[in-house]
Amino acid sequence: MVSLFTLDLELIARIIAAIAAIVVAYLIGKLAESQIRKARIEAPPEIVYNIARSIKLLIIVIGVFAALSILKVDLTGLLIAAGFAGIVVGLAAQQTLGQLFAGVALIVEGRLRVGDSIRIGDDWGLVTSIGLLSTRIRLWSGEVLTIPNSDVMSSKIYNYSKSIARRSNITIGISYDSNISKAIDVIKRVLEDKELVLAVPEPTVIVDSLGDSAVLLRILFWVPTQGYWTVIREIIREIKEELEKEGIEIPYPQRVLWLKTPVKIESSDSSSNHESG
Amino acid sequence: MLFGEYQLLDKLEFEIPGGMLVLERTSGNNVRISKIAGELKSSKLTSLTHDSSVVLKAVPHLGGPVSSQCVYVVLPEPIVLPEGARLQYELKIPVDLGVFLGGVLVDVIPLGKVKYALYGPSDLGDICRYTDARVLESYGVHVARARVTLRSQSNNRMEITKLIIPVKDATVYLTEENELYFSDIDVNALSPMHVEVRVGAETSYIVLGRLISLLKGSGALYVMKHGV
Repeated sequence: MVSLFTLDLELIARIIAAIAAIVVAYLIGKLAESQIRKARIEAPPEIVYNIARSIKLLIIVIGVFAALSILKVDLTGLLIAAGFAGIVVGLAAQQTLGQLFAGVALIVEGRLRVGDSIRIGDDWGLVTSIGLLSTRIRLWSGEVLTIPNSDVMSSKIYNYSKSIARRSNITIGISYDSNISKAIDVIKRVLEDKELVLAVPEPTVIVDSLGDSAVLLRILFWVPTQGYWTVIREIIREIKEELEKEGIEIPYPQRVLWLKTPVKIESSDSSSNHESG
Repeated sequence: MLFGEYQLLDKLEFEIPGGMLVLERTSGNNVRISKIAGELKSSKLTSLTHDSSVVLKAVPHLGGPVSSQCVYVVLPEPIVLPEGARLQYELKIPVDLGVFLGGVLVDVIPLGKVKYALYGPSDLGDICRYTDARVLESYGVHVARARVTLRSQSNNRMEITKLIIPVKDATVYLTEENELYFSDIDVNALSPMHVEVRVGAETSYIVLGRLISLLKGSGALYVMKHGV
């Protein structure tokens, strides 16, 4: 009875020690991860992030092995079992492994970096983290989108942070009665006045097409990436204001109707009747 | 003249192209530097460390809304460099206003309107401050004169229409005649796709078919790889 009680106590002590080993390993891992993330390392953030997480995981695994050793579990048998289990898990977790390899490829290739402004599919946003399994993007609307790395690898990505300048393409319609040359001069003056519209490549204003209701002018100009959206917003507003000031009309959609038979149109403020046809 | 040394006791106001520059002590050693252009006001807070002296000096292009380390100069007329030619030339380069407090550069303010240009493709090129004859005439900028030496080491005749000038290590100095001068510029044209522009140093030479760079002192180098 006494020996059974002693055995129980010893087992309880071992269990407590094993749990303590795991908890300590977890805390050390977490501390290591946090210190590595805060450390001044000359490396891209996504690499630092993944190294920190891998080190945390490694320390926790060491802690688990230490706990198993404290519990006197035969690790040799466990490792052999783990080998077989690895094959089974490998077959079962093909998709996860695919994402893992895609994650490594993504980091090595450098297609994306943390902080890049990107468009992937229909989603626009800022890359906030590139993990081994998934990539997180903070959308401009504020939501955080998590995409499996295999999907990121197979998607078309527009990376706006790779370019130092972007070309803007705006179409504005002016009425058929307006003077096209004057409108082009007004638009060019607005573009030249803006400091952030690049002088080279030179801004271009062309008559793009003759639309249903307006002569469509296409305005092409380059802007440094960092000020792109601000400049676009200001330019569109200023072009509209300047065109109005110069008496150049931006028309509403119009239709010219030709009626087969004449129609009488009665005016409310005059007694005379008009005929149209 | 705007450039010079001043004592900041309470408040200093300067007229600059397109607005006003105001330096004022706020409390203790804190100094507010404000640029007022019409209704727009932008300001920065800094501290005056050693003494109350404020020095306004002409500095190379470093200020403005976009960070750039080069000036894109469109030459008033193309320069034709025959094989092995050497040519001396003088350029006018716009300069900014450097605000030094206690000998430390604390702010760079563009004098006059600023325009930028993209040299090269958008993913490999650089955004530089832009200047051409029109900018010099109508943008109210302050300019410094720069002596440019152009050498051709190309086997063909070359035509140069623009220069990209690095400004990182460049200096601007005021002569006794109150004229602003920019660091000397050396242009070494090896081919239309490899033109070296070095500021404040000697350029490289091809000796026995090998490129050898000879430096007189520290200098900034820009290699024009996207055409001249």
